[in-house]
Amino acid sequence: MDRRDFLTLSSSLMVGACMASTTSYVHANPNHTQKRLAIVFLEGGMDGLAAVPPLGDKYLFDHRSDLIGHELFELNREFGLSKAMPNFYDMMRRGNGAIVHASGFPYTKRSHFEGQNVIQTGVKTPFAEKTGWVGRTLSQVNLGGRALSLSKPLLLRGYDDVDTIYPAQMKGAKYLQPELMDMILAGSEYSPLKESIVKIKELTQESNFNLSRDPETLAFQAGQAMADDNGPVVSFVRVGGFDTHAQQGVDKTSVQNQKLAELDSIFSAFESGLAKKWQDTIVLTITEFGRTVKMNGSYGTDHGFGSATIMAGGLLKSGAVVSDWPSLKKSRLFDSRDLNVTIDSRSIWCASLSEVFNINHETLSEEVFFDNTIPNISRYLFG
Amino acid sequence: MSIQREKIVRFARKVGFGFRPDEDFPSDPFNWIDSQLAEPRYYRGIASLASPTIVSEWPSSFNLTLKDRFNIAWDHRTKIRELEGDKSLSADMIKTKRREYELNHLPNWHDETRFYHRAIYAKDQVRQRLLHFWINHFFVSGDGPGSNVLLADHIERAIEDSLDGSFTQMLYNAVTSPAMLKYLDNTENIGENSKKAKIDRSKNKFSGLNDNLAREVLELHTVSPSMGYTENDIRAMAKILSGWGLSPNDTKRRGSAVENWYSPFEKDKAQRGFVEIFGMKLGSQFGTSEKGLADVLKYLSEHESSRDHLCLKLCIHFISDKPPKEAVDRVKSVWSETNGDLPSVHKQVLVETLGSMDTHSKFLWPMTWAMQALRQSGASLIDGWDDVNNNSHPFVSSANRFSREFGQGFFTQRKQPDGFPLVSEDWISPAHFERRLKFSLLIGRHGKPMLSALDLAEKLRIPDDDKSLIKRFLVPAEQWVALLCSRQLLEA
Repeated sequence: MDRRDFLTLSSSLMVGACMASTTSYVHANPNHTQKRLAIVFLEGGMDGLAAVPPLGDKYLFDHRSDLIGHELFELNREFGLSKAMPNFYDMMRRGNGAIVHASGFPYTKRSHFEGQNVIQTGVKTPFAEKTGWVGRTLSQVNLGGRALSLSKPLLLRGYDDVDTIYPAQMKGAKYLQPELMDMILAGSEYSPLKESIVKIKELTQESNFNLSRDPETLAFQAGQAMADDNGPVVSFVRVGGFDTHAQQGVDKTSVQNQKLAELDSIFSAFESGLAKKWQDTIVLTITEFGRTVKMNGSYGTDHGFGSATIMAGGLLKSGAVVSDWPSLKKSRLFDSRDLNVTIDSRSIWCASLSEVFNINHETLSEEVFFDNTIPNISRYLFG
Repeated sequence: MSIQREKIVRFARKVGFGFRPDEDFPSDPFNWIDSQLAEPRYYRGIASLASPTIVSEWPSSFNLTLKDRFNIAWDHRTKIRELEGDKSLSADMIKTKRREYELNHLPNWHDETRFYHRAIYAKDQVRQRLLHFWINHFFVSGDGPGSNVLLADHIERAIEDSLDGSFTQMLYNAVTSPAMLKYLDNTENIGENSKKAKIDRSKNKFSGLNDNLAREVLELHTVSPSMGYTENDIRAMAKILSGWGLSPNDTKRRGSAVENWYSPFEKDKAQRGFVEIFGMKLGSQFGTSEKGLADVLKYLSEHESSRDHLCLKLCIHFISDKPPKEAVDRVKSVWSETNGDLPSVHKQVLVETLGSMDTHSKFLWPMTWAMQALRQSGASLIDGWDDVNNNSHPFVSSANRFSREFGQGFFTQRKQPDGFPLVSEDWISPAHFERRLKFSLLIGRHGKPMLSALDLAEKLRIPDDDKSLIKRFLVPAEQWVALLCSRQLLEA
């Protein structure tokens, strides 16, 4: 495969979801949107070359023949898709999916902790920013959020009205009586606790909120909540375990494919929960970096650079693999070892935010990402 | 040194777990600290929640050697293979039988229960809090086969036994701990020109370097990215680490592995030839050696970037999210003067913590707060050693479940090697507070505390305004919520 544009058919999840909430000011807010954005954070550095192997690149098998499965879905002449993702494959066929390959954040030092920080803050210097690019966007449109996770993810920080849901399971103290919470609210001066109790009271009144918390159920519930016209506009799911340094594997039970299967089922759960609202939704995956092109000494891969951004949802129209393929020829690899990045992840994030919140690309680049050089690639994804 | 009682109770929560209802408050905090740091490790706890007032030492049968643990890991693997190979069993039956076997044969649940019992019942609370800091720094997840069985060895032998020595020694012990070598894949890090790699190649099997541990030693355990090391340095570090770590899964070597486990270096897997790193030329034509690793770890441990990284982390953990610069600088000076002698560094951190209490408070980790709540109230909610995995109590849960629930299981849960966050913004959220409210209610309803919430508030010298809030609650169990979730007890 040479360096050129590809537009073709071709998809992707721990647990934590965040959703912009059902707040009473929603109708009065001129920024109110009926579109939805779900973000899935693939923690550990997802191997885009294993999820979406560039079969048309003649160098692929030289680097990692033991990491390419024999059974793959064929997206087109150039790209395959892991068999662990049948639901996503179907979404691609229906035009409800997209893959942006050889994409990544402009961060090259390969540290999980710095990488996870920059892809959430959206700025290039690690630990330089305390808020996240989704939080800053919510702040622009004044729409609240909710995280289905124990802590508020950095991605959503930057706007105060973001709650967290991760159902507690404590035998013997299953429910908190509203009267008890009211008394603490009336008497306590401790504001972090008081603000939390206000949120806990709201959440316990929600009818669709039950006590299960496996990723699929949470994604389904997040989808259901977002399906409401006055429901959350943003949701976030975190899936850990993509750091496949050893025994990455290619068969159905391999670590890599189990994680991809988890992602596939979360895509599917979102679609079921969202129902008709699926047509107005983007499910966007993010990951801190890709992995080495060459297999390491333990049938795994080490930290790399470029990866693949897997997206689903009805707002995507083409079912395309979008790529300016850089080639796997050694001289074309980043540092002679990693898939190069030819599409900046921030351009994908900008395009998605623009589509959902109806904010123009220039404003998002400058005011959310603080960088006006980010390319506008909306037309490749949303027509 | 004699200080006010209000201050000493808060100081004990800032650097320890507070005092049990039947414990005396010391008048001199540093005599109190010195006496517990001198004690050998011991575990106290209860045998059963049916008799929560009988506190005694944990039975010695729970003290496992590394060899015991290796054998357990081996037997576990053999059993799993046997189950998976049994064609008469359905996938669900295999899962059920595997779970049954693990509950009855793996030591993890008792290890974890004992770890938290110690926080609630043993006197050496400051030593434990220092231990918690360091196991978080040299984090090993117990959430994987192999490393879960070995984790308690990592905590006790690699970390706790190093608390009284230098950082250099702790670093070496932590990096070469079998649990760490397994957790960060170094058991699979094989020198590209090693004898083992050549044999593998002749069999058409691929083997080579794996830089997972090498990278984290530089980034997390020692100098941090601020030092400005390069990918070449990481690669060189991986070469020096090659050959370290015997996998419990290495069937052919089982015999020798058990015997050699305490020194898990295999020359046949190590990179041959010299390796250059940070201006040092390590190894020999015959390959890197145990000494090569000791040399590079000594260099890293004594680097000022490691000192700065570690001193700041210690101050953030004990003093506040934003500790005073002068305090951090004084801890750094002691580190430099003593070449990272941990008892001296710890002492200075504790002095600075006491000295900055009037202006700095710290929002407590969820499990630190929960252990303080149990210890100070005298309530019993965590299974005794005879109760583990029996589900004998209708309300009370296991240490494992509580720590998972609070999102801070040292023995489970976190998969990433950077440990749990030190600053409060990661622990303040509605979901986190929901758990603290419910846990407080559980203490009042089912924990059988040894005193009332108001008695404890009095003992802890809680301000009158907060006491009057507690009094407004007419149900005693709810008074515990008002006390334990007050700012005074959520922070220290």
